Amino acid sequence: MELEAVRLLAAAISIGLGAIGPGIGEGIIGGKAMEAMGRNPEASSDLFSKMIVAMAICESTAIYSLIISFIILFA
Amino acid sequence: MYLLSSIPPISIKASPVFEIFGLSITNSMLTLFLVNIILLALALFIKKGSGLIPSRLQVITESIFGFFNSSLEPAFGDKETARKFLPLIMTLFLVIFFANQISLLPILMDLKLGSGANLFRVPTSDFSLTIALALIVVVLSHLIALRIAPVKHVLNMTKIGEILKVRSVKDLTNLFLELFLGVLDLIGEVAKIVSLSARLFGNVLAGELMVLIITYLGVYTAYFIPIPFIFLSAFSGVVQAIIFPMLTIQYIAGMRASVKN
Repeated sequence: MELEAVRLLAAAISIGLGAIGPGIGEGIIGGKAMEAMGRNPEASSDLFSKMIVAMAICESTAIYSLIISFIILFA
Repeated sequence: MYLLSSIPPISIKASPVFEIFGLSITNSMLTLFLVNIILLALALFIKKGSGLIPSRLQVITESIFGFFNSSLEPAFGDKETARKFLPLIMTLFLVIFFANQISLLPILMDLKLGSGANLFRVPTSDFSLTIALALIVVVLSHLIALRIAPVKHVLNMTKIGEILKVRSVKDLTNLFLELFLGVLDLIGEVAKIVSLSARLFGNVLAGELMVLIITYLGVYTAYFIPIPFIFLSAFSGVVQAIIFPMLTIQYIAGMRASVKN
């Protein structure tokens, strides 16, 4: 295969496989947060901001594979 | 390709604008300078309009102060040490927040140099800045621990002191396990630097590239379609500006707690 074709394939596989884990993880975080908000509606805003922080940290590994994908495509 | 036919060249490296005394100033450095000027002007403006009855900007600033103070106190224990670290945390938050949102200014971001590259570029979309910030934070946490108790910190990190405690052959397996965990700890420090810098850089760069590609995708997608992506980019910029200082607090407090008696 030519280099250009393999380069495009590598970038796609990198971000494609890398986004599976954080997708599942963030769904679990969101689900648990919804459950906790259902049990205790007064702590809703507090729980929501902490959920956003936890989701952003969980997103990290997807961002690492995105960076690899960009480096493969553009550099 | 027929689509994306007139897209400007995308580069992960920042392009130099001019040279001064042998150092090349890149376009992200120029934008960081602009962010500094904006922060300074904002600080002077808020200071001038402040008083016992707070103006609206003063209320916002005080609420941000209160938010970071309330996350510093549980991490450090007492109020005085928490207050000592507040300037660093607030500076990190303000610089990263304004640097992430500078792409919302309308005309500045589109000025181009002769070589086709932008004159201004979002500072945090340059890997150099995020690596510099992450290095500052992690090295600072180590220096703080070294200043409190140097020998204890070195022994904690490399676990060499376990060699002196070997009494029998059974302790030898424990020793190897401890040395292996010590090496993992050191690798963990490098992982901290890489993860801290890559998270901020990846989020901002991904936002920028998404908006750029959608804008140049075709003549019909350039007008209203980028708006949700610009919102997404702005929102993730705010979230990353909160996460970076909070992780800094955890790293510094963790190092301090591991050497305090």
